[in-house]
Amino acid sequence: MTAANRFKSFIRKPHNVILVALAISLSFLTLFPLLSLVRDTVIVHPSELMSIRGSKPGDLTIFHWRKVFFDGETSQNLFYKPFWNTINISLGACLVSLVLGGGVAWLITRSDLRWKSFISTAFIFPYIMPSWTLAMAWLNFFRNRLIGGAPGLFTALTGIETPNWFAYGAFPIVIVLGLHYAPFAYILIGGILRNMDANLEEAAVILKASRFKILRRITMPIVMPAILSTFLLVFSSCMSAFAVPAFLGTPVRFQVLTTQLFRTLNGLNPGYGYIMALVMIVLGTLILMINQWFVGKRKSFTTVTGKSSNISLVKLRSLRTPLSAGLVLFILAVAVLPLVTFAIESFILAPGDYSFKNMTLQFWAGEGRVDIGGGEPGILLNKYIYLGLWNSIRLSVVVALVAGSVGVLAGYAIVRTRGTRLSGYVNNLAFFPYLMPSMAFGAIYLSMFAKPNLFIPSLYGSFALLVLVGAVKYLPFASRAGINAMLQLSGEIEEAGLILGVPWWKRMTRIIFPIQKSSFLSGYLLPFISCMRELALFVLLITPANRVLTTMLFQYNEKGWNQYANAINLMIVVIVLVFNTAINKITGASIDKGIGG
Amino acid sequence: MPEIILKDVTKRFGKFIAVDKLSMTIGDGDFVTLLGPSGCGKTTTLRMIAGLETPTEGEILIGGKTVFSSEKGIDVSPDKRDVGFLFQNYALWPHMTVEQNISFGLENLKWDKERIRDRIAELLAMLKISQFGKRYPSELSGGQQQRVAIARTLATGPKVLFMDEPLSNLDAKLRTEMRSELKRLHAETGSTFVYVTHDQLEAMTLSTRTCLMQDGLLQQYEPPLTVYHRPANRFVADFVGSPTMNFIEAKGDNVNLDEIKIELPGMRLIFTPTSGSLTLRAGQAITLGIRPEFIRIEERSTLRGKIYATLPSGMETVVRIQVGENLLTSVVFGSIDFDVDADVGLGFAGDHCIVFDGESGEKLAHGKLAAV
Amino acid sequence: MKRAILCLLVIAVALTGAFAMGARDQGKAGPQLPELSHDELVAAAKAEGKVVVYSITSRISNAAAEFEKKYGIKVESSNLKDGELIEKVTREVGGNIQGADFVIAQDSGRVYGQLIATGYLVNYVPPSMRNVIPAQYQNPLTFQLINKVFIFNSERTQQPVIQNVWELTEPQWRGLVQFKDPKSEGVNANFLTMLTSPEWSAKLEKAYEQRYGKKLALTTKNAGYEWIKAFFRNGLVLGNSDTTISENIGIKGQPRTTMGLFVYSKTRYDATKNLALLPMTEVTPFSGFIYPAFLMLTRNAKNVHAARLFIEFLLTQEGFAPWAKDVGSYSSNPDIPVNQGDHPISFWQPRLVHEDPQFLFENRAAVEEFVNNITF
Repeated sequence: MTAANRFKSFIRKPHNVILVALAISLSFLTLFPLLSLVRDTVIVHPSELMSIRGSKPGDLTIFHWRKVFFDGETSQNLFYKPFWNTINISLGACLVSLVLGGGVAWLITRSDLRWKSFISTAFIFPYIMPSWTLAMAWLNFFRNRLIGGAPGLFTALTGIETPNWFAYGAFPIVIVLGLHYAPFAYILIGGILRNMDANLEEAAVILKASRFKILRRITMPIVMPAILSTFLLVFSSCMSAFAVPAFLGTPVRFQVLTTQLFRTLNGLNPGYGYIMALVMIVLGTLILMINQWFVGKRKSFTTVTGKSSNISLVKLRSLRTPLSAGLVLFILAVAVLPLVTFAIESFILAPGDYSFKNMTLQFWAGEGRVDIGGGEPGILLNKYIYLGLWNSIRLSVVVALVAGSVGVLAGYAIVRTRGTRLSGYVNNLAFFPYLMPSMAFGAIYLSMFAKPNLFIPSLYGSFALLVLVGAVKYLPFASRAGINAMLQLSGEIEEAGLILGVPWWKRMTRIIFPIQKSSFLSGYLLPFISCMRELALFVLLITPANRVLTTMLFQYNEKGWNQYANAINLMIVVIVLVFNTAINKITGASIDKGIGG
Repeated sequence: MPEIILKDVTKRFGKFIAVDKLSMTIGDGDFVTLLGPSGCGKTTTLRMIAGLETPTEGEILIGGKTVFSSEKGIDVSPDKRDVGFLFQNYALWPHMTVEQNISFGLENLKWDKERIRDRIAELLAMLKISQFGKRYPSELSGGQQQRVAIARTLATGPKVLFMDEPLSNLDAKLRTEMRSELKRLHAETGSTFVYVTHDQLEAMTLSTRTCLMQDGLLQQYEPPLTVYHRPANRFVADFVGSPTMNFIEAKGDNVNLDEIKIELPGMRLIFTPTSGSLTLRAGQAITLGIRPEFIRIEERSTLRGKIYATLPSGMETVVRIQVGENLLTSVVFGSIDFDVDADVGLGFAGDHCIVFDGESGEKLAHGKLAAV
Repeated sequence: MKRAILCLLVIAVALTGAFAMGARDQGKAGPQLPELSHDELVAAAKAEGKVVVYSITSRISNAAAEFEKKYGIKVESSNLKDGELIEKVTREVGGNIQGADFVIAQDSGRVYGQLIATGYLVNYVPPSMRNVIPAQYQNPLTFQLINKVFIFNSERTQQPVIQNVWELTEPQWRGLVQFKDPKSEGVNANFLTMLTSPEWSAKLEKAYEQRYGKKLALTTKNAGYEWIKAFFRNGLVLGNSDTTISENIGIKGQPRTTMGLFVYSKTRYDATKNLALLPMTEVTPFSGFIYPAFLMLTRNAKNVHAARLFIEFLLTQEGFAPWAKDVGSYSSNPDIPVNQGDHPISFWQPRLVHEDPQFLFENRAAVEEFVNNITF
């Protein structure tokens, strides 16, 4: 066959066309920013004129690299300490989420726990809610007087002062991140446990192994690869978490890479920040490589059998009711109580006074008062809140549509051409944005698209830029959902249509999509939810005309207008939960399917 | 010693009744098969006896000891029931070698290392897989994995052995081979075997008693040949035997004493029960059941039919014959070939023809059948 | 695939080059328009119909509402943090993107170095104000002065709780003093930077001798650095917002008297929030610091006339009304009286540390690094 003919037959297949298109556009949208980032680490930025004396913006310099890595105490404080803090809290949070998420997954799939359907539904909530929700709730509850000012609800109720290490810094960050990602671990490990042949454990029961021995010798080794990859994914998520350490770490000057990133990008030395972003990307890539190496080395042990209904449940006996009740209480505390604290905090007028006469509707429905919050009206009367809400929803819907659809196409093209180099390349590219810390990603897109380039006009301050950055950032969720959906679908299904001469788009819309509807839709749902609660990604890109709820929340919070912040947060959480539940009920899509559980 | 007794054992999953008031006794040293179509409750029954599933109601005794009783609140965990279990997909632990898989149970019994080693060697030799001791399950073929699973189950020398469709993942040839292995194993170990299968041939060939179930209800619990020749009802008769039994829907009338006249388009038959007298209501709806091997091709017979199709397989030939409105199956030893639509005469042999009640499907009688 | 990646890299590098080129040449046309009479200006502004402003003070929205009401010109105002505002203007004007028409910016060191020296911001003093506003506030045009002073919880005592700033480095104040993170607001970093200037370090040295009757033994460059280090090491609590700090300090029923260095205007919350806050004005050698907010046009302003009109409006009593209601905000227009109960600028000037743009530009980075390296 001649090259021309080969090309012709290559290009005639829709999946090849999609693959090539994705390879080119994703290279531009993910690799290119990376290069731009590298460039940003070696040039002088306008705000660095103070630090790098006598330079002009755009000059080449190794100043940042020297300061970040090789400048003794400065590097220690600037980079190394935050770096180790990041590693430590990520490890801690991983441990918490694995133990908790894995434990609940085990209880749900392997024991006769009560109220399973409630527990398994409500346990996901902390993951659906914005990550700072728990951080804010923690502060509402446990902030102490040691740091000055109004004590939290806990102290107000019990009179016990919380110690500093408990209220702020590494400990609460680990706990809160751990709780936030526990559902993630639950979904992944639960999925494996559900698919794992229960007979493997039963065989050990019959052979008189104790429950603990079974867990240690049989269950753990078999689900180990899954646990490891959960660990790595949670680790990289924790590493790029910004809001939680920002809320809980700042009062005691506990810095991690992301908070340093934010400070330096907004301060005098953005160059430092770009280097940190690069470090985080390198770390993320390393993690991904370890994961792939590990998965490749040890074949998955899990086998799907049709006998899952026959799993024999461990009898918790006397522990059954206390454990179930404890878990329900715990979930209520983690998933519902924060919302209650937001509600309460949004009603109180003078801080720290939780008596009824101090309650006011001012921050919800009051007219602006000059003596409170700079004269802002209550959020239900504030037209900017409605603008923000509209923007949030509009942005999330568009991002979800774009990311989800590209994810479907990516999944289709990647699976259909599985085994080819291009397929692997696109697969990795589509996952790459996951490793980019959101804030750095936002910063790069800002510098890339602030000016008109090539055929792309300047997108600065435009809605399109937000859509672009959101769609690329959340593509990994969508493409994973798409790939999973396509892997479950045998090629013959489509070939049957092909033989009948059904055109490609019709095969996609009439055959493939409907069959895997709920899996594909999950690929739309996760970007939607993530987008609704995203802060770090947009915080640098927002302009007044297109601000979204989360950035408004952050602003209010920074100004110390806690009541507005709490009210907005409550609003975001409720919207996300309502949307998630509605979509779940109507279409059957769910975030656990999106994650690949 | 290990006699297994089930008393009114019931298992409900929500509203669905998987097993309904099952009572049976499995004698010491029996090889009992639980047979039935999928979803009939046979696996659930097995798992309940083993302790892997908790019955909703009822009582189970193994070797005189109550291991489960809903009334007394007893529920002995599987590891204390002294049973072995062979899983359908073998459930070999993928992260352990063959030897480790086998030794796991022995370690739990706190055997010393030397004894374990000897026992493993013995089992590997017995099951002819000595050369695979150091391999991982994924490096073995299906049949080899099956042998490892059996070795693992036998290692601790359980007096009762449960098997859940252990041969269903093997190809036809291996299956036949493993069947004889299992039968020998049963003889050698002297243990009680309880075996779940949906393959009637397996049940027929292996078991000392067969327990047939449908929709959670026990249909018949007797030696396989009894089940074959004296099926308790139409369902059992239909489920057991291949090719399946011929069923002819008809109306019967007592003529003479103990003779029943059956008239159908193209068929006039007389049934003489050998199981005792049978009295029918006038014109009672009945179903006549005739195993294919009892339909003979007899040229001189008055009962005539037309060849529908002939399916020779060498040792025997299955002949499908159209008689009136009924399509009957006959099995003839040796290979014969008939032309399609050829006219043949039919006769009936033996006294194993069955009359079922047309409505309830219960067996009414068995006996001889003759064409008039 | 390696080759594919290589190809992409080459393309990408080429594109990066193109990007970098694009950034260089921007239009140099500033809003140097002919002077118009007030009526002409109003007409031209109305023709533009709209004006965009970025501001470091949230009350711009109240002023905007008044301005809209008065002239029927739509205002898009947004309230940004000082560093954010500077970054935004740098990007927008630098990239010749239509953003703000004028700004209210603070942080002199950066505004001078990053926005004025580069020509991104253009000074404009309305003709009507040229003879009103003192010359020192005209270039760049100062909109207002804002002060942050030492404020303490007055529940136990109405008397000033410290006389000398060195007391804040002593154990009795450990963990009881709050200050906004200098990294989250440039003016706070400016204040610290100014302390290291020859003038203020000398004053601090003298104050030390006054308090302890001995010479200060230096472990750092000068007394300014020395005080900063001791101040931070004494369990200083860094907050994210002056509002929160004011609440933290002012709330009643605290076991010990606390204090902070934050915006004087926060004492306005006293009544509604049930806070107990009192400022101190006689601390040696300073009672806090004061800094200007600048009112300037952007180089690529689109609605120049509306911006000019708004600038003029903000300098009048009417336009300044949203700020005049409170203490702690001082218009550069001396005709606008300070709030009742507040002191005039002339009172504050000698008591507070003020900003010197040149010194800040040269030393701020070093001080920030120094602060970052203080360990506890």
